[in-house]
Amino acid sequence: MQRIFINELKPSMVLADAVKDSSGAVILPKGTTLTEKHCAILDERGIKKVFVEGLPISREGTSFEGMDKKIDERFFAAGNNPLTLKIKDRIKELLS
Amino acid sequence: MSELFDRLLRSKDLPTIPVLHQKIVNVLKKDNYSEDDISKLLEKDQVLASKLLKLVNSPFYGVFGRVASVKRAAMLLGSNLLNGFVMSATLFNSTDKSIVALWDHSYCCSTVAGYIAKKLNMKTAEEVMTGALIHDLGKVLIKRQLPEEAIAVEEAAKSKRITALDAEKMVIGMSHDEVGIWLAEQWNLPKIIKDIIGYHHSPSLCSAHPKEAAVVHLADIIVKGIGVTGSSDLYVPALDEKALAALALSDDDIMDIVTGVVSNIESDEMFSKYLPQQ
Ligand SMILES: [Fe+2]
Ligand SMILES: [Fe+2]
Repeated sequence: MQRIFINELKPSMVLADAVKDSSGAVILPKGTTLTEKHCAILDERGIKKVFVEGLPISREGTSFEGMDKKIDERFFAAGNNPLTLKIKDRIKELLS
Repeated sequence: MSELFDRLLRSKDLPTIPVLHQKIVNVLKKDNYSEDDISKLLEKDQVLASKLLKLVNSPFYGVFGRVASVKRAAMLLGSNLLNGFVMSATLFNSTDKSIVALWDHSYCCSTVAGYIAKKLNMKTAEEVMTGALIHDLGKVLIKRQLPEEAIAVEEAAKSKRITALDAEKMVIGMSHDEVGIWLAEQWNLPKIIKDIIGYHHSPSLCSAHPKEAAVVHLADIIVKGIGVTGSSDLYVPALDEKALAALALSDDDIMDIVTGVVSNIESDEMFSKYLPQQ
């Protein structure tokens, strides 16, 4: 699963999570196989990023490279109770 | 009392509540104050006015359409939150890099804490946002009264990879939550705000407002985890598990909150400058 920018979307990618608007209403459900039209709708609705299946976009050489390490370092002193680790992993998933 | 505490807490050197804030509070005290009086005062300070507009236009604040007038922004905020907002914005009005970073951090904590409090249908959401805006008040006081020790705290935190909280205890013998509640006491702030300041790192120890303190505690951790750390304080503080249990949130609820927060930050002007750009 990867969270990618709208302009990186390509038809045939599969949504790994539902896309919702700011009020929480579902625009496209999880599992949708994207078409050109879907991509245009998401763009129109002001959506910036979505979750897709797999790791289709390489982050090498971008400002996202090393994000996981930075987040690990930030959490270095936070101890390792299970909930803290869950929060850390979710932030990694969302930001990397 | 040691010499350090003496310098830290010496009352003749204490920062006073900012003048503009006092003026606004005086206007707000009147039963029939006019929004015009308030917006005139706010507009005198352009930095403050632009900060205010940024806050009401945050996606977390959830106002429909763009707010461009200071008057409307003041109305939307309500008198309590406006009060805390003016106090913190003027307090953090500095060219010192670390104070500016601390303002960014405080602002982000406030929007996220508000988002969580509204999700939990808390009646005290406004107070939670206000408290979050000044939760690290003690850090401002430490920087001001003990500039050399403040640098030593920063260096100790970095080199030992410990939280600011632990570094403060090591270098000064007192941490910013204790210092903050002490100053809030001097300023006669409302009990709920004092509790948020004093217990934002240990909400389970708070008897009167554990939930409010816990919401700010969680917001602080999420905001720091995202990277809005407030410069000197690089490390995410330890989670007070007991306090979160009091909020009756399951782990899944908390994951939803984290996801909800991160989904909103890309369209928030303040957060987005801390995010990697495409
Ligand atoms: Fe703090
Ligand atoms: Fe903080």
